[in-house]
Amino acid sequence: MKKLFSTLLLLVSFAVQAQVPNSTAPVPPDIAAIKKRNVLVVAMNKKDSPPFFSGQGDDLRGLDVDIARRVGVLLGVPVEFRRDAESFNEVVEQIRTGKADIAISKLSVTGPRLQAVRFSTPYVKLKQSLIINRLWLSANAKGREPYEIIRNFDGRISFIRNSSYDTFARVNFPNATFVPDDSWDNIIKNVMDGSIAAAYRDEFENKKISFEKPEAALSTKTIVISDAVDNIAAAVPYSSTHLLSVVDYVIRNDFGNIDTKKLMKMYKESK
Amino acid sequence: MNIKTFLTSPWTILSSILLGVAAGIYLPAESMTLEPIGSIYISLLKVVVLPFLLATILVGVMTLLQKEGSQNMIKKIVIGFVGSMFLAAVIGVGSVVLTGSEMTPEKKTQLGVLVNTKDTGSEMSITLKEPMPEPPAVNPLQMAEKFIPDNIFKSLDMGESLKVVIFCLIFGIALGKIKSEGQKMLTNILQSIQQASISIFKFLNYFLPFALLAMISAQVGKVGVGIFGTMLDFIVQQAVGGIAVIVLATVYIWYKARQPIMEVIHAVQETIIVAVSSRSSLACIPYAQEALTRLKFDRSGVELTVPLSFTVNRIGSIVYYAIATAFIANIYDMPLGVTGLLVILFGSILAGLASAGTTGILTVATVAVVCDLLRLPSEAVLVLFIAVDPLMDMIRTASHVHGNVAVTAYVCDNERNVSQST
Repeated sequence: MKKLFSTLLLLVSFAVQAQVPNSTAPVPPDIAAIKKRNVLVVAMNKKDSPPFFSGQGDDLRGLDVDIARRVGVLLGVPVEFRRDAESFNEVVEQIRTGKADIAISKLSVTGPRLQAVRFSTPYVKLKQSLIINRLWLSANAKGREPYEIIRNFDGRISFIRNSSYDTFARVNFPNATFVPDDSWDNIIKNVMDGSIAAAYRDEFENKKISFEKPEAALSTKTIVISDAVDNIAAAVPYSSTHLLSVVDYVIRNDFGNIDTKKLMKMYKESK
Repeated sequence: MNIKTFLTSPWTILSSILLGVAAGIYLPAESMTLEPIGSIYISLLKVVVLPFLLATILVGVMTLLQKEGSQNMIKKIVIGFVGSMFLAAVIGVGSVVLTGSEMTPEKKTQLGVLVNTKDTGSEMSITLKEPMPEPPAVNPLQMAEKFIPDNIFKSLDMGESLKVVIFCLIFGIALGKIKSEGQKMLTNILQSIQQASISIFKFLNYFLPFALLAMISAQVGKVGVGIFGTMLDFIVQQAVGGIAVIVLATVYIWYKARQPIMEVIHAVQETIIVAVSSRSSLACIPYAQEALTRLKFDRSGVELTVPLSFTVNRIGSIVYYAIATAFIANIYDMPLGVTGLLVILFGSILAGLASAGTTGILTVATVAVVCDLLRLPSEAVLVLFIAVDPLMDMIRTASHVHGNVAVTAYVCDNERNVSQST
């Protein structure tokens, strides 16, 4: 059914193209380059992150994959996923150096990244969140409320290496000891056994823990930071202004209101 | 067999308890529908308890003031309370030391999964920059506030038994000082209220087997069997603590009453059964008073000490807090050592005092007082405690009530004892 739908869309887009008068006026250069190559190269992190992207080859699926395919259909070119980036920062780097046309990879908008690439309108707005070791929280309370402890956080905080939370941590918790780690599983294990005080990521990933590691509820506590937003958006090279407007249109039109609840539903369905 | 003797026979009571447990395990949904029967029964008990409480304490205080040796009794009440609270904490810590179990990673995983299923959607939300609501300032004097009644009718209305007791003490002392005809008349009226209440209690007793069946099956059905396995260590420790208090208290009452042990057990068993089934110490007051008078303890002393100790002297809670805190420490791998155990010992007494006037979940949550002293997180485990509390409350109420019956036995003279001891 989905395939049929895509084929129909493809046909419609051909029809639209046919409607464009055969003029000599220049096509925007970023679009022209993609059309000439006849492929849209999409950069995506190597590690799966359901329900955004997971699986290999034909089995690759998720929200980010759907967005990429919609953009491809609209442009009338096939989509190729490039999945060799080891970190989220590397995905951004691939865009900056022109190794891919667009990055749709659950990318967070951050200050340093904004200086290197152009971001679309966010298609998901998550809140930042901490998974705190309960024992550490009690031992360091000294009569303070939890929010005071978090605002003056001075323990060991862990996050995925070269991810947006590396940046967020240094901005929001300047007094903390930073412990970057390549493996999220490892980070969760460490916060559960207390060797680090807190794991820092978005509320959605932290909610997933209660499904993947329900036993974590005993030793850890999830705290959502309601005024620290994590905007998830697609990224294109600074020169691809026209491609960006296409992506913005797709997001506004087809992926307009995705919240944590919907993501959770998608995640459970993908299981 | 007479229907009345059948309904009040201990065997009938025991069978309805066992039947209730079985029904709760095998027909949990049906058992829950029986819950209102139990609540109606407790309501009927409680509705008589407040006028009874009022009458009994007033009469108790007035008679006491007119007798010799009231000073001595006040001294004994203070010693009895402090001593019993300390003993309760020792029993709590002792049962932890004796039954200390290994917290394996498997058990922790099971408990964690349980916390996760019970604790849904309660994650915390904070802000980094936006102002947060200021927590209410804690004033130690506020603790005293909940003991002091400002409107006795409101307190009666809200069922704030602690405030009612304080009011009765103040009023009783004032009444006792007046020497007038009116005082005698009032004493007579109050005694009539007392007697009327007791006859209602006796009538209600005939329905106890049915209420027991309904209450116990609903409680067992609510807790479910699944959680028992996971929380078994905790339940066993609490049961050991509760049984220790009950045995020790019974032995002391036996020693003080100078009557055959079977006679003593026979007298106090009903109080314990009502405690276990109603989980309301207030509802046990008339039963406890009757038991102690039957064992020939001084009536006016009993009438005063039972309500006072039941409301103020939280023996059951102290034992509970000591065991609960040690359980939490065990979960979080915190070695306690001698210092830790001492902190638990005195912390539980403190928490027991702080829990005065609370019931149900609020009583359980007061375990945080001890946990804070040890810098232990109580929040997650609290969810588990609340889940098994219908059962724990039975143990807590039974040890609280029976422990205080023993305290009353210490405070009050026994007719059989008086000639020998002096």
